[in-house]
Amino acid sequence: MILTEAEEKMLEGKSGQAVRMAMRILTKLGDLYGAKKMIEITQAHIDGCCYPTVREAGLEFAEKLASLGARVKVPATLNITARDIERWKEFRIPSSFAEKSLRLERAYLKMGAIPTWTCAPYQWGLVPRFGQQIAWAESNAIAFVNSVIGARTERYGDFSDACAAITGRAPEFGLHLSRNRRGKVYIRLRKIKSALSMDDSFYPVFGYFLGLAVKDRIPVIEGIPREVSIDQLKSLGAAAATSGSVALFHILGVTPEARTYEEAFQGGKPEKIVDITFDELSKVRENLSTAKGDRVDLVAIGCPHYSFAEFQKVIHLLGGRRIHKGLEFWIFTNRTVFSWLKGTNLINLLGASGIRVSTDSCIIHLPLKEWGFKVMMTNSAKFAHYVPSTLGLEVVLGSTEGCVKSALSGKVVREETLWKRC
Amino acid sequence: MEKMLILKGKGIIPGLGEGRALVSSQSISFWGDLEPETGMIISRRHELFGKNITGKILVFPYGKGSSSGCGILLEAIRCRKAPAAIINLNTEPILALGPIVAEELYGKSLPIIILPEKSFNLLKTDDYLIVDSAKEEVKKSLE
Repeated sequence: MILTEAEEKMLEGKSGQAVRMAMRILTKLGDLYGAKKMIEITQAHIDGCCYPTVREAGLEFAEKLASLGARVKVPATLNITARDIERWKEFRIPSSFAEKSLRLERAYLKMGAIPTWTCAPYQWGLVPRFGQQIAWAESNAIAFVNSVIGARTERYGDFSDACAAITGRAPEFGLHLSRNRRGKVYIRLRKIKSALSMDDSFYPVFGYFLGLAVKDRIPVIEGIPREVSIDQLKSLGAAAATSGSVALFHILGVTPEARTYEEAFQGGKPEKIVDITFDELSKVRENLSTAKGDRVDLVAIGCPHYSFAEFQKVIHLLGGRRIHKGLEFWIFTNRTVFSWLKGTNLINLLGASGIRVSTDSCIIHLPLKEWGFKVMMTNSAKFAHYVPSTLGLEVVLGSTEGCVKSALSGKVVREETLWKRC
Repeated sequence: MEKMLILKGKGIIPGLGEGRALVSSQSISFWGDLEPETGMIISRRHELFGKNITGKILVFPYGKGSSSGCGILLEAIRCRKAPAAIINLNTEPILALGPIVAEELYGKSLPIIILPEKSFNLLKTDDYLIVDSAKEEVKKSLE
């Protein structure tokens, strides 16, 4: 890789030992993936700040960087931490675990990162513009920012995200380059009824299907209605990045690099055309649920972090009723949305209904043994995918309506209207 | 010396590792699939569920999912529960990062090599393999 004079100096340690280590990691990565040079990035999103995903090794890494005097060179947002920073006791998080989280949080704050604590920095954080070169981690955020906004990031992970933030550089490869953003697989929804493709419950299932179907190839999707909401695209991307390595998807007429078919495929042809069927989608949906009966102990939604509009929908569905005493209902979001809830009557309505709102965090990373939960219901494909292995719970994937009805009745209500086989 | 079949590939992380192969046709996301302190595959959705990857030559097509995979692989290396080497069809940067950071923090490595599909498909669980990613080859025992 050819480095600039300034980058060579970083590598020699002229900007300190932390920058030197970060630069060494990035150049190794760049050499490996055929980067010819480094590019200057303008912001970073750091995912290495969640203790259970990086454990002791990740804590050592962050504390080492912080103690070597690392400072972020570009604005850097932080992904979730493994606790609600203010209300962790209410969620029965063991204090030894909270202590580890605190140490990791402090290390990244010491480096000058912004305490956004959210997996959806594209909605409330530091939203980049179209074409901007950035270094983001967190698979759902990568998929969203590349696809829906059209900023450019490769799939960064724990460690490379911090290295990029500290140096302000990223190796020029992968999705930073226009030629690598070309669509490869053409996915058509011609056999799917539009009533289904307009519904919120379609997007996590379709996203999960998409990841399985394309793996790491870039899909171009035809047939998503132009009215598709930001929140629906958010759940599509999160699901696709869970079941596959989808870091970029194009939707004809919707996403900015797919205004036309020619633009999405950059004048080329798809390697493969897939006409998805209702039966295939339905099967994917069934496989995402592991629980058989109607028992449910916990309803958990907010993956990715819930928006104000999504909270409004839940409030509407609740209609002033209180959830069943036999279960818990948790919604995950960030401090920005939480402050809006507090700025309105919504926080009182949620409290009166028995719902707990958690900020800064994500259920899949919380130690919840003490609660004795066995079955969780959610509307998120990503939650449904990870919860059986990370929390050891059985899971039911339903629609938001189904989740609310289940929470009110105390047992699983499968809201199936749109998913009935014709 | 016993007969070995030599398969040429592309070295990703240089190093030497040998042992029995553990082959999966499915992709692996280390985060959510692997418990790094024990080396066990804990995802019930995965075909390697209940298997231990420690000391094995772990063969799988590519990574997937979470961007936290590298943290879990790094922790497995720190805990000495990592595979002896990894063979992929395609190694994405997120996977390579764990071993790269391990070299920085612990001076330890985890060799990774990619093989073309034809050679990759020859590998079966329990094959005895020697991965030499610096020499860009995998030796397969023909015992």
